[in-house]
Amino acid sequence: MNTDRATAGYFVLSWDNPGDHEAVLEESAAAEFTSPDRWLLSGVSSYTRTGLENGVYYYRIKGADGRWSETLKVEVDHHPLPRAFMFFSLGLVLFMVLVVSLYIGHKKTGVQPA
Amino acid sequence: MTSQALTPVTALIILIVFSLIWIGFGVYLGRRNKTLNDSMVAGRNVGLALAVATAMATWVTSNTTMTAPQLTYQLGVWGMLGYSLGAVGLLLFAPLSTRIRSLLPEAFTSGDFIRIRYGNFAWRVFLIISFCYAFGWLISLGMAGGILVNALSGLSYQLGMSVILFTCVVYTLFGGLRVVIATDFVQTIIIVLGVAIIAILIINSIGLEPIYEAVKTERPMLLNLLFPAAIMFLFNNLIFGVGEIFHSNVWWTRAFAFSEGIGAKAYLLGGLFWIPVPVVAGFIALTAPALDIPVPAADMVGPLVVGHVLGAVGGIIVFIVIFSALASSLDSLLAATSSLITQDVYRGHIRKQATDEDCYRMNNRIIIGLGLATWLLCLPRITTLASLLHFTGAFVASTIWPILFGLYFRWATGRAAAAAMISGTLLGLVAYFQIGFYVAALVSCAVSLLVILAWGMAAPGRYSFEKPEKMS
Repeated sequence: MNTDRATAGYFVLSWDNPGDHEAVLEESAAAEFTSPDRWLLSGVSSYTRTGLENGVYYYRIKGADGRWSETLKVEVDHHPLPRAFMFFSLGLVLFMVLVVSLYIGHKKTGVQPA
Repeated sequence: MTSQALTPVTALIILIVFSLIWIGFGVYLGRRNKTLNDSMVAGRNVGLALAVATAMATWVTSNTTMTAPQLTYQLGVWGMLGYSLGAVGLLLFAPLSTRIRSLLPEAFTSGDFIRIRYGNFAWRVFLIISFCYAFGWLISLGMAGGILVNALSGLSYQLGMSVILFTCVVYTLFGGLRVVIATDFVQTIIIVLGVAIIAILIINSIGLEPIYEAVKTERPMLLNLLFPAAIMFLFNNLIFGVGEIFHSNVWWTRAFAFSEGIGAKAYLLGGLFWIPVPVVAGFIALTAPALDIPVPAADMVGPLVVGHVLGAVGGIIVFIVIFSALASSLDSLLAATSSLITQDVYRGHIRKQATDEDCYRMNNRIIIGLGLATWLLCLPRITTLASLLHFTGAFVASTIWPILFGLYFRWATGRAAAAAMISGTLLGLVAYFQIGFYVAALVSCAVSLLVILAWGMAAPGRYSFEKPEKMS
């Protein structure tokens, strides 16, 4: 996996699958895999998980030999909202400066905006 | 489970047929190219219809047809809507193109402007940034070709990438910017019709409610309007798009190529027509949970969904649409980057006495060299499309203020512009690695603004735009 702490709710799970065999991937919020979500995968060696909320998620995969892999624990911990809004506000200010500068520039040079 | 929508034979036939069509078009139109003006700026007399089409088609690229679904799959509805904010770059470039044409009626490249306005040091910094971006975009386009072929048919990534790259190099070589713009017109029609047909077929076959329920249950953050990374991404993508368009020679060569008075209308209309394309393309990704499609890599989600839902027919449509979108951008970038190297590196640095005929011949060799270098860099599939593209955001966003202030205000100086570009790029890259790809352009743009403003207040310049505002 590319990270064990996902701050944007997505990550990539990957495994060795030299013969492109069918595999079963399980995801669960419990380490004991009670009522897991399950995907049947064929001919691939990675899986992109997206859209998860904050929490801890467990993964394991079963290949052609019928044995489960070691369990992988992934913590999804989204960026804090104040940080998100700080970047949003920064973007908004930059955009406004951009538009105002363009307007003033056109006014000064006498070229009318389209 | 995964399945391929097309057989390898069908995919090969489409690849060969469309490659032959584009190459034939290039050879036919290229017969009229006689001078550097013809090759680099299409004789400077492109009319409105072709101008709108080329502005739109060039901006509809792997970014739109494959990265928009990827970003929707990763960042949800904000990713989809945020991507459509990329149109703002085109809209804001509309007034800029008028100013560029009036200041530099005889110029060939964006580098010409930076050199004349800011001097050699800032010009070289700008060229490094431009080449980093151009290669990033070229590689992403080559990669997208390989990913498309692999996802839809199972043919190898390397084969698909090589064929699409080879085709675009050959027809750009024969036709120059004239054929790039002409093919863009045909490709625009294919892209718009194809994307609309695909979206209608998918919604009709699944239904909006199952799509909504599946996303809400399995991927709740994709519908959450307070998704932090997506909120951070919104303006980052807008700024990235503005940086791409403001600095890139792809858009400057068009400003020089369009007939007088056409540029502003063309960019405005091109931007407006472009807005719905990423929304429609991105929406396709939201159907993946309802269809229970396992997605190996996020940038494969668009072709995988279409292939899964629509089978061979959908596979053929999406294959042709994305092939057209890729070609329309790849050819533009090859033409614009080769112009930049010819004019700013070859004639600007290596052989200052080179005639237009020398440059015309050199430009063709550079197109081949660029194609070869891109092919070599695409061979190892190093990252996903969005990550690669937004890596270049740290570079291009730093050029926004030097371009904008340089075009309109006397106080911006060469040293300030160079310092703004260097510091913006460096801190943008720090943000890319420390926080995520979705803030690199924002940080770069903010730092660049602070530096150029602070420098401008401390040591303002007195640049004289010659009367009647022509630079030579």
